[in-house]
Amino acid sequence: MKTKQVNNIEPVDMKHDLQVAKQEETPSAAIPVLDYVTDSLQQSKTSRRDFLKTMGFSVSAAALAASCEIPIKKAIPYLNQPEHITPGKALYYASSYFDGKGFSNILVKTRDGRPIKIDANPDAPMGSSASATTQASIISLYDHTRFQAPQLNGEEASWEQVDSSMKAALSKVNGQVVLLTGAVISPTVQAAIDQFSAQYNARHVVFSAHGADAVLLANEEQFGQKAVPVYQFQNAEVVASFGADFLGNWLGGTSFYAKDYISNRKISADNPTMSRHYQVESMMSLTGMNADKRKAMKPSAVKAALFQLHNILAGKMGSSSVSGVGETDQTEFLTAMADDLAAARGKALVVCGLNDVECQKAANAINSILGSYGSTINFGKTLNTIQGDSKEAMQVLADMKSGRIGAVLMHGANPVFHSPAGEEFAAELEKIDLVASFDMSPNESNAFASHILPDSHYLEGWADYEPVSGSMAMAQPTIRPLFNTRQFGESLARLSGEKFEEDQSFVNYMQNAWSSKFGSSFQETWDNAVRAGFMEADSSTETSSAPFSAGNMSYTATSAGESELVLYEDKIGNGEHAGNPYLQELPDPVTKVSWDNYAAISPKYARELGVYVNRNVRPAREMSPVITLTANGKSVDVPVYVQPGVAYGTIAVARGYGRNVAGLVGSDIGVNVNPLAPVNDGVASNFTPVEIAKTGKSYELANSQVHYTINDDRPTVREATLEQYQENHKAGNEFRYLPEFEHAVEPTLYPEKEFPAHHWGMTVDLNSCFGCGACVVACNVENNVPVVGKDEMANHREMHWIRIDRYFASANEDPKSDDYMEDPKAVFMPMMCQHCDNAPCENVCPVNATNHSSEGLNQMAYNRCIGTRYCANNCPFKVRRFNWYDYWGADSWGDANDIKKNEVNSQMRNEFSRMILNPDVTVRSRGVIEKCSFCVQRIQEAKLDAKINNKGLDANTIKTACQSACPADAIVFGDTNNKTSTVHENMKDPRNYFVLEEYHVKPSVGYLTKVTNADVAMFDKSMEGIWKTALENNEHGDGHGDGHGEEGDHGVNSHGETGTHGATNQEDNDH
Amino acid sequence: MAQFESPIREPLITGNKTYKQITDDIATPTEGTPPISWMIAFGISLTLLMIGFITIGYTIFKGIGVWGLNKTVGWAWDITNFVWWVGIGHAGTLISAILLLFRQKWRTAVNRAAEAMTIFAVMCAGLFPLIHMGRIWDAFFIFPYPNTRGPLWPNFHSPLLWDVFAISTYLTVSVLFWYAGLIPDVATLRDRAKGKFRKFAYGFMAFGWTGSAKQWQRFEYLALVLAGLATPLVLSVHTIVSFDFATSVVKGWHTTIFPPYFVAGAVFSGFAMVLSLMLITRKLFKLEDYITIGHIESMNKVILLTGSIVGVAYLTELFMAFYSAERYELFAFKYNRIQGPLAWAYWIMMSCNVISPQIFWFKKARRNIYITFIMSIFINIGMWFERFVIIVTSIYQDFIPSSWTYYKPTWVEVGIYLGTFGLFFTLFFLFARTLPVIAIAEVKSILRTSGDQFRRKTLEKVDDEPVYQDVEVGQLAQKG
Repeated sequence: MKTKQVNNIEPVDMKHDLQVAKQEETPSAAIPVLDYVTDSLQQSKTSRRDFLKTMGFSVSAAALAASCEIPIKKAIPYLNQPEHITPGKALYYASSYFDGKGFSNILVKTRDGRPIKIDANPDAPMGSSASATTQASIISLYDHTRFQAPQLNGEEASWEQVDSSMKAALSKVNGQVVLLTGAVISPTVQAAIDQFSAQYNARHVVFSAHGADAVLLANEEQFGQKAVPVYQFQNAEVVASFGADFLGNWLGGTSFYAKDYISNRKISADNPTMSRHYQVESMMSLTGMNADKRKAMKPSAVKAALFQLHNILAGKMGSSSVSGVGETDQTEFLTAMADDLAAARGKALVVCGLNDVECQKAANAINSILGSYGSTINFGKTLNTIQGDSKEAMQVLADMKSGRIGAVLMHGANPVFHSPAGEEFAAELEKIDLVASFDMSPNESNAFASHILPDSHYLEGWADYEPVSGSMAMAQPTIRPLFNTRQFGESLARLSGEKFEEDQSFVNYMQNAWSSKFGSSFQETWDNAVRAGFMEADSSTETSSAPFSAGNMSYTATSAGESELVLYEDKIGNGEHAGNPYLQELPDPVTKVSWDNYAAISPKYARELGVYVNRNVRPAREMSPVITLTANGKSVDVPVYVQPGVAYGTIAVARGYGRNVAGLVGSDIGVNVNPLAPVNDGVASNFTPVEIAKTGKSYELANSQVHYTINDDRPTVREATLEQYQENHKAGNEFRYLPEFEHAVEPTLYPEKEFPAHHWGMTVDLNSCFGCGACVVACNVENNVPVVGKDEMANHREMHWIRIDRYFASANEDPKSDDYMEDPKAVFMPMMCQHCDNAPCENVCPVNATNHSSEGLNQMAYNRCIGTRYCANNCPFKVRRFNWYDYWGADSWGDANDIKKNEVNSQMRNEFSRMILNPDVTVRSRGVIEKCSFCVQRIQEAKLDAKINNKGLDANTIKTACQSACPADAIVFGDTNNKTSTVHENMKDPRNYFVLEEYHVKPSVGYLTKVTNADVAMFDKSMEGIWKTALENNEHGDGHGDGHGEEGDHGVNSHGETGTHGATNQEDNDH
Repeated sequence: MAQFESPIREPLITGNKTYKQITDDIATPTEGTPPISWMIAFGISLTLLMIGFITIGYTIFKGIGVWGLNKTVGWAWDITNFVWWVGIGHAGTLISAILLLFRQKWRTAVNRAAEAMTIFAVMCAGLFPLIHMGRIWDAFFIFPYPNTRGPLWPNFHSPLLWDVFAISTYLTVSVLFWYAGLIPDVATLRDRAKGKFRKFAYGFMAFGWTGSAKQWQRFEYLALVLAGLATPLVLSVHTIVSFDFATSVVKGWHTTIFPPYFVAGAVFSGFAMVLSLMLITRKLFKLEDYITIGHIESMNKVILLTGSIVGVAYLTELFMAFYSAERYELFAFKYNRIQGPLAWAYWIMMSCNVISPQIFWFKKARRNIYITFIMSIFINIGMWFERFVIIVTSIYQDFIPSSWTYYKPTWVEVGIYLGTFGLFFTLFFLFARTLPVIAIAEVKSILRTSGDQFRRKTLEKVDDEPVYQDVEVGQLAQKG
């Protein structure tokens, strides 16, 4: 086109133009250039020069146009603008998340009709927080591998066809109809189930995939209630956990207990107290890593220890002890624990995670002795998310075998995978006449179903929930169903003959149920519940007890094998989230392994078995030896992961892996260990003796943090004991206040940068962070951080903008010694871009792609980045991430970058998954560096809002994604220039320090020292070496100056105002 | 440049050469059909070059992910090869510029090839900063060109930008120097050329050189001026390359000793490469009379000197790490290099660069072709590992232990490295077949003072003088 235009310029036109120009100009003011245009030139045809110009231009234009084929992407505006939707503005809906076990009150952020982010609903009454699993659940909405339409005998069918076929089949079923579901906490769904059961005389069985039924059975026996009470960690001054990972996956898990537990661990100058946490466990759990005093022992020994504790306490408090309990080798530890518990009577709490009725009864008895009921345990309310009875489930299997069951209908239950008797279930399901599934996604069990009536995603439907008795929650749709799906409750109601008008759906059924319940106040109640996302029916905070009868308590020593196996659940639950790429990629908080399960073994035991791999000193891509575990008559091959803190003789393996049919990415990841669990009296145990055999094979695990200790006295993490902190608020952080240190960080030849308006900063309370990883997933979703897949994780190329570093410390850190890392202490450290004011990354970038904003942000101009990676090399915190491949398929390279599954997780690169992208954040192309931006899009939004509303920015308005996701409120973001902001307060806290501050990089992220309620601070190694020497010299210098030190310490709220401890003394002496 | 030279010095040109013989010896390899050995060698080089093309294309097409780098190790073979190749080039400039200024006559036999080597090595080196970029198509962002983006200039604080200037200046001056020196020799080839194309090509390249006195005078001046320009470059280029590391905060990079240490290392590796190449060329093209054992010994002396400087630098780094008591720096040297997962690389570097060159304290070793050749290969390996050790062992385990990783190359990186050998040798073999590998005019200029037949004549005269009688000058002169 352009060529033509240029060629079309005729000499005649040129001449005409020039003549016009000549006429307009007076001769004296003629432009000199016209002098050159002689008549002969005017008359000439196109000159050689013009020809060359034209030629050059057209050739290059043609080459450009021909070589760069840019894909056409259409953005079509609304024809009719929907109400409430403003392009570029997010809408938030209050809703609820329930996955069969975990529950959260949530806020769903939608942009242009697409849900793109889930956060905890801050107004929710139950201290709700959104765990990593909740945060990540949004991607399952866009999982195109879920059922897209109803199916009949494997063929897609219409709802009418499936419904009528179902009704026909149900009416002539030969035998009992069994409805297998997960936990049901929705009153309306329960009503639909009841209606259905009445209609077809069906038997409703809740199938527990999570192995917590021992708690229910024990409570039924001792309290007469088959329910889980509400544990109130916020009231507990001493917590003792026997194998219960309550910060991870025990009962309510992170969402329920984390906030309450952490509220007692927060420490400040005003309130220098904290709870004490004992943990006795077999594996290294997330909860165990946060304990003040921890003992690792085999599961059988944990049981023995629990009973010994019971008897010690019973002896102390004068109640009856259980006979047959011997003395373990931990008597001293247990006596100390008993003393602490007894001293905190009424404010103590003992929890037990062993799925063993005897143990749960003993734990109940201990809590009863300690007076926990009515204070730290509330039996006035029950936690409804824990349902299910393995006994009943096993009875279903027996009935199937005997041919009494004619139809199995499933929703949220996957017995073929979950049950220890999965193979038998599969064999029986094969024989059943009618197998139907209401599941949202294909799984191992509904592979046998002839009728598929797919449920909608929870973000597409309505629901009411009663997670805790008396507290109602609402879920509302945030998007129209992406596929031809129908809510479970509606399907059931329709099958039971409930009439639905043409345009009616489950919401009408729900409203009918509500209006019959609330009568005249229905509309108001409904509106309020939908708006708020919850309904506070019972606002009393009263804690009540229940009549306890010890019942028939007994102790049967579980057979203590040479090796014992512990089965646990991690972020993906019992496999129900296996298809979630964000969760699979989230490194396990303890092992930092992603995309696999593995046999966690202590270093010493691994060495004895000959399967030891010391990743700590060889951070290479090490292969892990594979071992065969045999228990319950079944064998599986599992790779070994050497994990400090696992009890000697114990092997811990996560459930939920090894699924065959599991969504976007979940198939064939890891191995299924559910069959290894023995079933005792109908209760599927989570521990068992196991036999180990070496296979000689090896396997690669993707381990994102291979080194697990802090070497040579690096002051990366600073720690103090509670006692030390109470004496001196700077404990663990003293050398920051030494004159030598201040001298080291002060001098510079360059003028200091000034940030007159805002200076964004962050503080991370190491005492609050318990390492769950919710922030990592929240950041991924908020900032369009790609999932890279297992192979790239193994290559150490994770793209996470925030990571949780975890370090272990052990009394013996010599890797060659026998007890190396056998009794470690752990600490977590969230690490993100530190937004250094003197950033080493900035000055080395040749093209100014990374630079500093006037508000203290270290920012990236992705378009400018050419990818030299020098900034990443020069970043001492190693938080910069390079786009090694085209992870989102965003580049114009098209199919050329369709990389095979192993290289990059291409399952995320489809039109559905891309709907999760946050339009406020650039999708980075291949070859550029990216990193934490302090959620600059949120800062800008808040600033714009303030501007539009013509008011200042409130101190704590802006919350980064990691901050709002943090269940422990460990992360605080804000304007450090604003004296009323929390971050400003925190920066002045004597516990505050900056990592690598001595390099004068001037980070904007402060860390508050960790304080443990233990005897020694294991991470206090930083006080050794030269800093300790300097400190000692300084103290010697004090001489008689101790008094000054004391004075300086008392009432120190801010070092800035009172002057620093060390410096003050030094000056006093000098004068 | 002919000036007096002591007759007891070793002759630099042996074999009773006449001026015509010199022209014939040096010009013949550029004429006629290439020998089969050349064809084979050239074929191998072309194959390697193709491997390079394929692997570089694959990298650009797929992304840097096809290399073995990770979140912690952002540079490895790419920048190692870059620094290594830049270093290789340094001998050429040193020989042609600094030795010219110091009137070292032995340079005449090796300067042409060494300068060509400089150019080819810098071309190989320049490739790496380009292809290591994540977005090579935006590489022009690093040039300070006028633009409509603000205007937006590159970051003049960044040593990578200094690199751009340093390397491009270096390449320009080296090409000028090399080509200016070639003109009289190309004129010689032109005058000998048979065939229209050869006549035209050499005629075009000779710029109408007639060999008049005025032309020779200007030629000499130009050589001096360019030598003057090139001399600071010998020091500046590798100094700036060392700033790529020295201006960072990474322990093991952030070192003030880097500029002299890098320059010495560059000369060290450059001489090793010159030796490797010249030992082969002299054999293949039968140029033993021009590149004598005396030449080899001189170069070995330079190697011994620069190798020792490098050794002192290594020890200084260790001492500073210990003496400063800086925990991260001490760790970088103690646990990342001397011990640790990559200690093997450190010890290859130490043994190849510091320990083994000490053999050149012995004259016999210095004058032994086989030992020299093996040592030159050792030094090339050792210097490659020096750069690898500096780059990778400094960053793979740095400040925050949680990010510690390891590094292993992939076949793509190995392929690219082989590809640069392909590029280098393809160009070198083309050069050797088309242009005189030894500066004909310059060698001729020293024939009267350094040719063995003239030396003998002078010695015959002085034999009569009693004062020299007890010196066995005849034997000395005939050695080698």
